[in-house]
Parts: sequence; C-alpha cells; structure tokens
Amino acid sequence: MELVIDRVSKQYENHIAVDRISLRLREGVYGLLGANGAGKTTLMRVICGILKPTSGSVYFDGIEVKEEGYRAILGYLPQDFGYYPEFTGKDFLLYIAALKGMEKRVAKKKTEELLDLVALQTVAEKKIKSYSGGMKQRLGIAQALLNEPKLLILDEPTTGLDPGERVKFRNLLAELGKKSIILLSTHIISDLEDITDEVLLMKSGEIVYQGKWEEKKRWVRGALPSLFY
Amino acid sequence: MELLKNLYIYEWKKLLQKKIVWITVFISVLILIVSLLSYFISPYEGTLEERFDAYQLDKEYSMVLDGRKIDHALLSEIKEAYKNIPYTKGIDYTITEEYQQYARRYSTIFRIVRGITKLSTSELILSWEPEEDKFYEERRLWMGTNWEDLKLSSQEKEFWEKKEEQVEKPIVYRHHEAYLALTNLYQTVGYIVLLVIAICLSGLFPEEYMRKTDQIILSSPMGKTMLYRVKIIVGVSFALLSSLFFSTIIFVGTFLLYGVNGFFAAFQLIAGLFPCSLTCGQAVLIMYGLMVMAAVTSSIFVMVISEIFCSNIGTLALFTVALMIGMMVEIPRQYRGVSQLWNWLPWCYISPFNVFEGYTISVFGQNFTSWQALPVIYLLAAVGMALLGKRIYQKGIM
Amino acid sequence: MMDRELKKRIKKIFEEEKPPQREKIQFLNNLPASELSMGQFIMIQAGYLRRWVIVSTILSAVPVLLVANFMKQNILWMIFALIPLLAVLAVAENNRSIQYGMIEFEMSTRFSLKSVVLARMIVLGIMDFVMIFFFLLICKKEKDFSLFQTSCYLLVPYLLTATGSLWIVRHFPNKDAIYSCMVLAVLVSSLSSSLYFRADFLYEFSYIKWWVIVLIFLMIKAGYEIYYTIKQTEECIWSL
Repeated sequence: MELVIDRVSKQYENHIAVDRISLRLREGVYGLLGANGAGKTTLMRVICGILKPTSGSVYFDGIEVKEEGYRAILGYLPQDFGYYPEFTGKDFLLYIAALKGMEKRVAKKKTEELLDLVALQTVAEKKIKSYSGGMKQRLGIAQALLNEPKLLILDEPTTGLDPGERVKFRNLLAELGKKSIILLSTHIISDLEDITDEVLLMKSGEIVYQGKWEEKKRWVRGALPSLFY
Repeated sequence: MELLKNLYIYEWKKLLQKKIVWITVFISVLILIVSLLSYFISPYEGTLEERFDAYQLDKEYSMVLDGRKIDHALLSEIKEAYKNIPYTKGIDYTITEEYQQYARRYSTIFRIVRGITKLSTSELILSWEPEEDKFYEERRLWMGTNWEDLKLSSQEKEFWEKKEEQVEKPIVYRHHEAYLALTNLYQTVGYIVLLVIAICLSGLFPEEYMRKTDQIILSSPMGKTMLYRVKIIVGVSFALLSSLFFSTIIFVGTFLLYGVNGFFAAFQLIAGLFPCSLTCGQAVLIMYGLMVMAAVTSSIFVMVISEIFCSNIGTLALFTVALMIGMMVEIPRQYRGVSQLWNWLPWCYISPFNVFEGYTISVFGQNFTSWQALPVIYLLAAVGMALLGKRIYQKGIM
Repeated sequence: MMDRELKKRIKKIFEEEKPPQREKIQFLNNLPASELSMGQFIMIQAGYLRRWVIVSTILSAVPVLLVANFMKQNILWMIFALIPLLAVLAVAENNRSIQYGMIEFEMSTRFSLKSVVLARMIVLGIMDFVMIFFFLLICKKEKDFSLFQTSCYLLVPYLLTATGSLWIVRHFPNKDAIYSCMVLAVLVSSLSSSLYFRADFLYEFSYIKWWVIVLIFLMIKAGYEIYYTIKQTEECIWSL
C-alpha cells in the first residue's frame, strides 16, 4: 500500500499554508512535527479530503482522495472535534460506523471491541456530555479505528490523555503501524520517539526534513529549535 | 438500503433528542387549540356557556335551511325578516329583540348574500330589492370587477367564465360551519406548521459545524453524499409529518365542535364570488394538501439557507422575517406579475385568498389554476434547491 | 523679514540643554494612575457592542416606518412581531462572554464579569427603551389607544421575551441557549401577532387591568432575573 501526495499546495488569500509538498508513504508510523501554524493540520485535512488543495493531488493505491473508496479506508481524528451531547458513547460510535458504511451487526461488534480497547466500556451507556476531556479523546480515537483503516490520520491524538493512557496508545499505534499507514502530528517528542519509523519536519508549509527517526535523532533534536523560531 | 435506514434513524434520533423540538410542538398545539376555540372564548356575547348555547341555536336554524336554494323565495323571506329590525345608529342591530325573533334564523344565509351584494349598511339593507336573477347577475358583475382588479388577461377571463357556467345556480344552501372554520383557520395552521419547520430544521446542517463533528463526518465514506440525502429526507419527512399532525388536530377538533356536515356544500357558500364548481370539502382538501406541499418546499428552503449561513439563528431569523412579511405585505395588483409571484411563494400561499385567487398560469395555451400548477412548481423548486444544497454541502464548510 | 542667520543664532541661544533622564520610568510609575469611573467604563463597554447588534436594533424601525407610511394599517401588528426580536438581540449580546468563552478573562480583571454584564445591560436596555418609545409614537397613527395602553401592549411581549431569555441563559449557560432564546422570541412574536387578530377583544380598555397585572408581574420577574444573572457572575468565581 502507498499513499502518494503529489505537489500538494493550499493557498488562502495571502498565505500559503501548504507549499508544494510531495510524499510517498508506505506502511508504518510517520510523525509530523512542526510549530503552530506550520501547516500540519491543513496538510492532514487535505489528505483526508476535507479540504480541497489549490493544486496537486493525493492518492492511496491509485484511488484519488475525493472518491468514496478512499474514505472507506480512512480513519481520521481531528485536533478539535465535537460530539452530540445527548448521544451515549456507544450511540456515537454506532453512528460513525453507519457513516463509514459498516453493517449494523459488524458495527455493534466492532463498537464493543473498541470501547473495551480504549477502556470506555463502563461508561458506554452514559451521555458524552458527562465524559471528561480524556474520555472524549479516547472516544475520538475509537471512532477513527472503527473501519480498521489502512490510512490513519491523527492530529494531536494524545491531547488530554494521562501518561498511562499515552503509553497504551503508543503501543496500539506501534501494532497498527505494521499493517497501515499512520500519520500523526504532535508537539510531544516522547510520543514519537519509540514508535515512529520516520519523522517529517514541517516549517512554513514545507517539509524541511523527512527521514528515519533513529538515524538522525540527534540532528532532529538539534533542528527542532529552528522549527519553532 | 440498510445503511440509508440506519442513518435515517440516527438523524431522526438527533432531531428528536432536542428538547426545543418538543417544546415547540407542544406550544404550537396549544396555540392551535386556542385558535380553534377562539370563537367560544370571545366575550362579546356573554359567558362561554351562553356562547355555546348561541352556537347551538344558530346551528338549529342553519339545519332548518339546509337544502334550500338561494332563490327568489328565500331572498324575499330574508328581506322581510331583516325589514323588521329597528336600525339605530351606534347600536349593533344583532342585540335587538326583533333580530332574535325574525332575522337570526336567516343570519347564516344573509352573511353569504351580504358578501355577494355588499349590503354593508342598514340603508342598503332596507332599500335592497331581492330578485333571483338580479342577485346572480350582481354576483357576476362583482366577479368581473375582481378580475379587472387582478389584471387577468382575456384568456384567463374566458377560462373562468367557462368554469362559472359549471356552477349550479341557484346555489343550494347546506350547513357547512366546519368547513368555514377550517377555511378561517387555514392561515393560522399554515403559519404554525412553517414556524415549527423553521425552528426544528434550521439546525439540521449547521449543527455539524457548530458541534465540530463536521470533520469526522466529511472524512467518512457516507459523509458527503449519503448523509446529505438522508438529512434532506429527514427534513422532508419532518415537514410532512408535522403538517399532517397539525392538520389532523385541526380537522378532528373542528369536526368535534361543528360536526361533519357540509362536505358537498358549494364552495360559493364560503367564497361567494368563486367561479368554480368545487365543494367545500374539496376546497378544504385542496388547501390543506397544498399546505403540505408548501411545508415540504419550505423545509428544503430552510435547510439550504442554513447550509449557506452555517447558522441556525440566522436561518430562523431570516425565515421568520420572510413569514411575517409574507403575511403583512401585499403587492399592489397593478403589478400583476410580481403580485402573482409573491402570492405563490410557499409562505405567502398559506392563505385561502391566495389559493383561490383568479391568477392562472398558461402552459402551451392551456390555463392552469394555482392549485393545479403549484404542486408541480413546488416540486421542481424543491428538487432544484436540494441539488443546489448538495453542491454547497459537498464543497465543505471550510 | 528677520535675517535667517540671525534667527538661527537667537534660536541657538534660547535652546536649553535637556536635563539628563534619571529614573524616568520609576517617576512615571509613581504617578497616581487615573482610575476609570463606572460611567466611563459603561461608555467603553458601549463602544464594544457589536456593530450589527446596534444596526439591527435601529433598522428594526425601518419596516415599521414603511408600514406606517405606505400601508397605514397593521403598524401594531408589525411592532408586535418585531419587539420580541429586540429583546433577544439584547440578551444575546449580553451573553457574549459565555458564548465566546471569555468568562475567565473577564472574571480576573478589575472591572470583573459582574461589571461587564451590568454595563452591557444598562446600554442595551437604554437602546431598547429608546426604540420602544419611538414605536409608541408611531403607534398613535393607527389606533386611538392611550399612551398608557400602548405602553402596556408593547412592554408585555418585550418583557416576556427578555425575562424568558434571561431565565434560559441563566439555567443553560451554553451556546445552544441563544437559539432557545430566539425560538422563544419567535413564539412570543407569533402569539402576540395572532392575539391581535384572533382575540382583539383583549385590546379593549376593559381588559387593561389584566395587562397592567401581567406587566407588573413581568417587571418583577425581569428584575429578579437581572438580579440573579448578575449574582451568578459572582458565583462563577467560586464554582470554577
């Protein structure tokens, strides 16, 4: 499997958020690092087909981003997402499963599995408005995994998670990364250290570095300050 | 199909979970019931009991006249009865004993005669010389004046002339109180239905943006196409169900209060100058059927506007203002085209005057009345708006 | 004309050397800072009201004027339809702090959230009462109601909407509350418009005592809601 991002640009009135980025990603976990305003979220939204690029294209195994088949293999966790307050956690997952085209029977089974995985089984029947921030984030992670995505895009996925939950989440990603393409953006370096195969450094809409984390760890650590100033 | 059904159920769940929907429906039902009973709670002629007794008496008189033709004999009887009333300036003649004794039994028919002959003052009543031919000729003349006011073309006038020839004359009086009440309440019911639709559906699309669930939805396979269709279907279903629900309340309430008599009564008993051989029952079914169509079209309009504004408050404000302006503002008839277009807008059309006004539309030389043409026009408009809405939705909110 | 050269020399003589700046910042800090009075604060808050709220409030007079000049009837009907929307505009503007998540900022300042809310209420209240007074003058064209009667007929739907909206916003301090207030305004608007036609006997002078009773009740309830809205801003501090 391969995700091809071919000369993608996104320009707003007088600001270029993503500047001719080209990438080829295969199975594994990719960390997307960059300062606030570097264009990470914009790039992720383009990859998810939510935002139309000014130019360029995105393909997954030859399927273009705007096709329904592309979104069928996609799992996305936005940085800032909402919910329906009157829905229970279970209702929410079943609803998203329906949107993902999953059969009811399969959706029910998958929902129960994921609620167990993210440790929300005890509060599954409670309304989301009663959840804490961390619980909502875990629910968000669960919905991204419903359709066993081949392409998983996670924007700041560990926000609101306590250290224990972050470790569990990292382990889960490491496992998933063996058979999917995972792109995650974060400010927390330690989230990337143990699980990412490659790191992508982004600055002012451009990818300034792409390479193995282990190979260039020291370089990357050294380059980090310049990303943020 | 299974997916469509699942999503349909969830969208309904999202809609019905909102407390505002239930509160709005409850208050609307209350307003309708008060409107239905408004005749009885008006204190003009005594207490509720007195008012009810008065209605029962009027009903008895009306049933006695049921089946009589509005011909020379009946018109003469009416004139004789009303001649006995002492008309004093500043005093309502209906409170006099003479009225109760002689004229009241003819009051329902006199109301119809008065509507046609424009006997607005006591002097006119006293000088009125009833004659059957003259009565129907006067009716014909007033119809002609009406057509002139509406700036109808000669083709349209010919069309209505032909329709008028089919009206049975002399008109036969039938007790039709229920259908009169349904006609009078039509605008209120229509207004309530459209308001409920605006309140409940203006958040159907913007909610996803406001609750920040749009990103997850738009990135899912069904999020861009199937979900849009489902939301539109839910909106249309809601409009259909709520218009049928409120209509049912009004129909049941009216029939319980006034009885069911009068389905086959000539609609001319309610709209004296109407040049078409419809019965009261048919006219009421047409009105309420068109209200359902107007509700469905308005629901799609509300949903599409809400997508453009991305705001439920803005949508509600705009639609409410449109409703109010539609009720209050009348385009002068000399601007025929604009007047017709204005009167045929869904939120303006919910008025018996506009439904049975003389405007027609000509297609390939054939004239069609508003109740024949508008179902097609509304359907086309609804489809057009839905397609436009789909484009806006798929472009994304960002 | 004085010689230019001479001018230069005179200027040079009279130019004094500037004294060295010693402890300038300390000196400036020690100057007593002029404190903003409540009145000044209210004026500043008035400047921060959103333009579209002020413009919409003023523009609400336009349909009334159009109806009064061209139709010369249904003026009261139009006003009954619009007046609840004025009330909800004011409540929505007052509720901005909650809507846009500014509560914590405003609670931590000298003129805290309580003062901000009070200042907004004063300014918005004055704006609305000016509009209602304007409507009162226009109404005279249509019917022969006395000023007292017309005031009652206009204030009741206004206060009903304002009181109801304040109650909603106080009990449901979230973004959905404003939509609920808007729905209330639309329902009050519809009710008062339909009462005018379906139950016009209510507008006869014999019924004025009922209007006065309802008005007094609503005024007390409005005062209660305003008091507790402001009190709630203090409670916010302790519940966070």
